[in-house]
Amino acid sequence: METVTKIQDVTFNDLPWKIEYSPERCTMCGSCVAACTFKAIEPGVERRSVTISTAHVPEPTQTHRAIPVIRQKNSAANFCRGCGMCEKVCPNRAIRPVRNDDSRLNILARGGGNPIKRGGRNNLIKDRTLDKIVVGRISQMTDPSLDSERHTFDILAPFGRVLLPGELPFSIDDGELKLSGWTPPVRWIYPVIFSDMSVGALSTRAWEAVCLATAYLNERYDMPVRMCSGEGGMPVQLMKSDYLKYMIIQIASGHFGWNRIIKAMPHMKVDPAGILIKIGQGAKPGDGGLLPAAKVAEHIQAIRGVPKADLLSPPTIRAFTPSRNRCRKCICPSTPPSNSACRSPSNAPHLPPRYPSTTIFSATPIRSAAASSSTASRAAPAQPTKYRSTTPDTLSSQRSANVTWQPSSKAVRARYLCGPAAASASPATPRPTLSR
Amino acid sequence: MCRIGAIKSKVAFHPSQALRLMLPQQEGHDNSGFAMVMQDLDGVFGQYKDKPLLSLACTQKGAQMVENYMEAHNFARVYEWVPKLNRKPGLDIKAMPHYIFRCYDYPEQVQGASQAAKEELLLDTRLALRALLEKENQGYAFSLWPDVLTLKEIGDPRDIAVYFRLWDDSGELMAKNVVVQCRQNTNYEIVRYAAHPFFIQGYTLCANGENTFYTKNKEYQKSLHRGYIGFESDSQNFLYTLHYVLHQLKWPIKYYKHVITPLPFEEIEKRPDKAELKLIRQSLGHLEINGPNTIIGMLPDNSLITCCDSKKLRPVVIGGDGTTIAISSEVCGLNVVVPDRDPATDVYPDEREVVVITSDLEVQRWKQ
Repeated sequence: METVTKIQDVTFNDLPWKIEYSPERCTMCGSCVAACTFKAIEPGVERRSVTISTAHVPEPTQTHRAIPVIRQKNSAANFCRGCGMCEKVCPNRAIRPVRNDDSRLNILARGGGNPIKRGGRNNLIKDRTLDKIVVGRISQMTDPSLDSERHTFDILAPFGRVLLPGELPFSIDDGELKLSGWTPPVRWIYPVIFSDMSVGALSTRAWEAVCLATAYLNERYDMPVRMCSGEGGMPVQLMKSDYLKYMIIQIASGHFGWNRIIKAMPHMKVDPAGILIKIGQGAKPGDGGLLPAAKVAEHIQAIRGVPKADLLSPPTIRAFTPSRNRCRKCICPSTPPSNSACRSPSNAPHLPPRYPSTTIFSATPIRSAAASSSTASRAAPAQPTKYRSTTPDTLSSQRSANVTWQPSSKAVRARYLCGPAAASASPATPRPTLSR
Repeated sequence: MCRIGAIKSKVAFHPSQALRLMLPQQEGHDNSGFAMVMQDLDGVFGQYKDKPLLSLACTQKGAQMVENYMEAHNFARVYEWVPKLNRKPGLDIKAMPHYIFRCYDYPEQVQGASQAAKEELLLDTRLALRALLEKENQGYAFSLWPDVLTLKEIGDPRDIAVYFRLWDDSGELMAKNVVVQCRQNTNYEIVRYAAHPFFIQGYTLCANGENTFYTKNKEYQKSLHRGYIGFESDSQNFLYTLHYVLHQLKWPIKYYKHVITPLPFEEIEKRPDKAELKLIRQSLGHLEINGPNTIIGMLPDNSLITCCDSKKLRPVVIGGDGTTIAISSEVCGLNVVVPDRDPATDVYPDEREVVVITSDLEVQRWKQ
């Protein structure tokens, strides 16, 4: 067992600096060990092969002796920083640090200090990513370097539905442009969004931590960053809080947690930063996403409104045929006709007129969507199934409701897995959707 | 860095004035080219002010191709002026075989059409000619517009003037407005289309500087209008934005500066028109420019406009004597062209200022 332990140990070959030590010059004064602030070297005793001659005439004989030495510690915590203090204090030039080109310290650090077990020399990083980034010419005609004396820097970007210049509701009055109509809300934020990882895909604690970080950056440091919930719904407490304004609520092909979102709307104190409708599983186009049942813990069930089962996010939302017109009808019912086209967030008209994989709307349409959905549910009242009838007033009530749910048939299960198309096949399932 | 300038006068003058404006600024350019756009013409073109004037530099074959195209599209030739070239040996000029300045009558089918329809036709025709010549590398069509003449050439401006006999002041080529540039080549292959001033549908513009947002501007502008092509120079962005704001959006001229160098957010928040300014910034953010620049533009109504980047890193000065007003990168140019002016009245616009010289030589200036 000892051998196994040793081959997994860190060695000084893994560290960025190696100590070069000449025992024949060393007087064992101990200055270097005393000077090393990183405790990277220590005195020790090694059994070494030495050639000695003790007679009056040379009679060299080889023998083994235990001799005191200074040696480097094999420890990632005490790695040599190459400060050279040992070299400076040594009276005999017996010791000095030497840079180790084949250092693997960064990989050790990545593994939490564990030694490298696989990969061998592939783990050697000859150069760093930052060294490889080439900042090319930023203007074709000239070679200006970025320079705050010459350039203005402003990293805010508009978030929301930006109108095309020709669509701006301006009238000209006495040589001045006057705003004479409604425009969608747009917020200027850092072009940084914590990207859509759902509760469930991320662990709840990690997801919560990112939420906290988002709110903290905004509230404390006035850094306008936003976070997207991902497609796994959102805790009701968050939807009712003031911090919802920093969150982008996402709906995707799995429709997870959306009846809870709809039902939370009357209790929302602020608008969310936006809603993001993910029409396709961009990164997983084949089979879509899959959250294995093992990860669907009770609180995930509560937030998403689902049983403990494998959760499939289909590759597309089946209610949307790949027709631009159909898409428009489905997801933009409440916007004025002139503005009703699905747009990518940048609104850049030079983008190909393709079906966008994500569509971002700013906050206001969600209110009107709520109105239309409540109209829809009044128009077609239907008995909710047991799991659907939960009132998400509190997380605990969701929890208790969901725990009691049992899948009764394949058809009900299919509705979970396949989204609204399958759901609409059954008249007794009034899944709240944005529109009819 | 190029040197740019413009002259506007109540009386028509010769192009030699433009050369006199630019040559004292020679330390700032490297004699690698000369270009000018003349508007409100006099001399030989004085009686054809309403006829589209084509400015062309091409080969024999290119001339034939253009002639065939114009004939096929019912443009009737009204007048042609071919400069009498001085092919003196030793001149530093990379001349084209033919320079043609030709006035046409509009095709019969658009004679009664609206001004807008005529403008679109002239643009389409120029773009078609450019594509035709470019495809076979037979020449350059610089402008096709009533009362506008463009000359661009590669070489030493003094030699170019000798070649075209611009020093002669023969009375043939005269105008009340000229926008002019002496270029400094920045180690790229010289393309005639890359020489300022640029022209589209009555709007002329030249700029000196470096537009760091060239790519961002270009990608967006390409989607805005069929006429926004070429992009041989990062300064074409300024022209296309000027055309887009004034001609396409039909916004008042004061908003041009708000588009290219928007105010910082904290300043916008203090303004009564903050809602409008923020919307402009949202929707036209891709037309913002960056880096040191000065712009001189000429509008269809013969007025001139000039402004700087948001840090005023490229200088410009405006001075006049009541009959003539000139805009110049350096004041030494003004001293030659309008020597009798009162230098105390010269205007040095700052980073937030826009100066417009109206057609009756009134100087308007305002802060953005």
